[in-house]
Amino acid sequence: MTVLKPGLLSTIQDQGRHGYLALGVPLSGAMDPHAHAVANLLAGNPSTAATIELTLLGGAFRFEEVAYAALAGAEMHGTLDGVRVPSWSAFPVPKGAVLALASASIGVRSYLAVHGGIDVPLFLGSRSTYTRAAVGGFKGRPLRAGDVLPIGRAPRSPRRTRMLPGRTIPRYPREIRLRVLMGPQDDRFSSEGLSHFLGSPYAVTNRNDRMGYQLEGPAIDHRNGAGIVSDAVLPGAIQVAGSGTPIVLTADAQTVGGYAKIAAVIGADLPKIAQARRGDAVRFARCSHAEAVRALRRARERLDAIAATLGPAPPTE
Amino acid sequence: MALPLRDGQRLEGECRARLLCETSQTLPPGWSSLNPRRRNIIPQAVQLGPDRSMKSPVHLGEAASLRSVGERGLVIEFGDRIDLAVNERVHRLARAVSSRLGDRVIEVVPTYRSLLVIHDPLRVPRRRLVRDIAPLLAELSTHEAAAASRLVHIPACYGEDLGPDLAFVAAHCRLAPEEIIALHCGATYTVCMLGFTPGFPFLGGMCSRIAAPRLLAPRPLVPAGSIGIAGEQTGIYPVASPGGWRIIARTPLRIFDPSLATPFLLAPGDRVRFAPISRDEFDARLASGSDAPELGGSP
Repeated sequence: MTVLKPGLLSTIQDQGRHGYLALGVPLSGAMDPHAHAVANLLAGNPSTAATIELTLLGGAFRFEEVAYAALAGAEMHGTLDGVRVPSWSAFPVPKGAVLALASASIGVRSYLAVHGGIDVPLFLGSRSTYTRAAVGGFKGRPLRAGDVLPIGRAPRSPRRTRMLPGRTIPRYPREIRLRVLMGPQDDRFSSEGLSHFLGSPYAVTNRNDRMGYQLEGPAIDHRNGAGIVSDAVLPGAIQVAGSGTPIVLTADAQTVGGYAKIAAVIGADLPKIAQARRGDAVRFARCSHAEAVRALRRARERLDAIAATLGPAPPTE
Repeated sequence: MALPLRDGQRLEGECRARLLCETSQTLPPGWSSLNPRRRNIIPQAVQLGPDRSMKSPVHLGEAASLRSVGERGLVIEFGDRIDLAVNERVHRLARAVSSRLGDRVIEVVPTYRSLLVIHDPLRVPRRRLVRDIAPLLAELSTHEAAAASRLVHIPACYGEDLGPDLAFVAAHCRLAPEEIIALHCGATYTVCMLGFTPGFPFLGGMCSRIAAPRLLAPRPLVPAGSIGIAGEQTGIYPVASPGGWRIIARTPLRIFDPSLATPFLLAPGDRVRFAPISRDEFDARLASGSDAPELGGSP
């Protein structure tokens, strides 16, 4: 597969690089793990396969061999040799066909999966790109025009288009509610700061990337300064800098951080922030550990149900 | 000891212990199995020598508290300051959790003063995890099992263009540059944690006489191998990256090299000593290796 136009920021991602946080290596992986997982299911891939994460502007890709591809996530108005291919669908690709993706009209990130997976080498057990250290993915960097991506050998060559049932397609509203578990340093904030955090809408700014989303809204005041002795962070953690602005850390977040963390977005809600655009409103809602675990279970069950609906592999004729 | 089951609740109990660290030329016990999915990626015999710095007893103190980073992250916090005795407890608990809890935990992340334990709450409920960790905490205080550590020697070329802030640090500390170098090379450091960029060691144990504040504005690009001071910490930049630490030296060693089968030079809990080398030796050693890893084109 040849990259004709790279889009705005297109990187190869999988489920992330696990096991190396203690050595300072971020998890990375798809910003929206749900859309990434559905793209793989649609394409008939195992959950470990790598996809291309497209950001805001999709780009164009020419398939040098017959393939079977799937799109999930943001709506980027894809066309295959000029014929419309919707998001949340999988479709056969003739040899030499060009898949073109435009600007996202809904959501931010779209995942392009190809049956067989994007077969770049593993680095520390993952194909995810981590650009800050120039590792993983395709040469450790975002895709550029002219890059030729290897596709994994596929056991069968599916023929039929298939779509995700409409009721299972997530909507990406411009106002999102993120459930949070308080801590680990919520005791570092004033009661007024805490009530601002839980009671006010915050707007997504243009200062967002794969490391984190900076939001703006009423200042979240600390009791005794924003600095802490650095400790470990995970994607979802919300750190508050000295200015009182919250930053929701995401997939490429550093492994340790020196700002107090007021709360963490629960895993089940993390995909929502990955699809939030500049100007979108974010509200934080406190929840219990038990509720976070229930939500995680429901998210996994939803994915299992999608897998059951689609069947183990795409139809071959 | 009462079992604390809620976040933020404190673990009370007898928590003082004396610890004698013995030396070893292998990885710390448990470290190789810290994260089961990882292959052996830390060189076992690089620049190792006996570590005689920790023969005196280390007093471990304070109670631990439990906190959460989301539903998958349990934080066991031993304090809120940079303190080698606190950090030693963190590493001891990290080894105990890794070796005793096996696949009940996904990953453990030691930091200066706390241990992050990542688990799958659908497979191992938080309550059970806390119940499993509590006795390990209690053992930290009652057992005097020796902890082994590696000692890694890092050659460093101080001053001039490789250490552009050496003059500032000397002026700030009212010492001669030679004294800064002697004091920086005179201590044995502990890799308290790694982070910021892959393989970046936060080294504790620096002489407070050479402490210096960070730059007011970080440099946009600090070369790989740069050795810096920030407050009472010292550290090494593994890859070229932005940075605000005062750079006093550079090492020709590659701290992180993704092209190697063993990309990381250092692991949590390792001991480190710096050895001054001349510019000629720096150039020769750099030339004998390949290029240092560089920063990717990230936005």
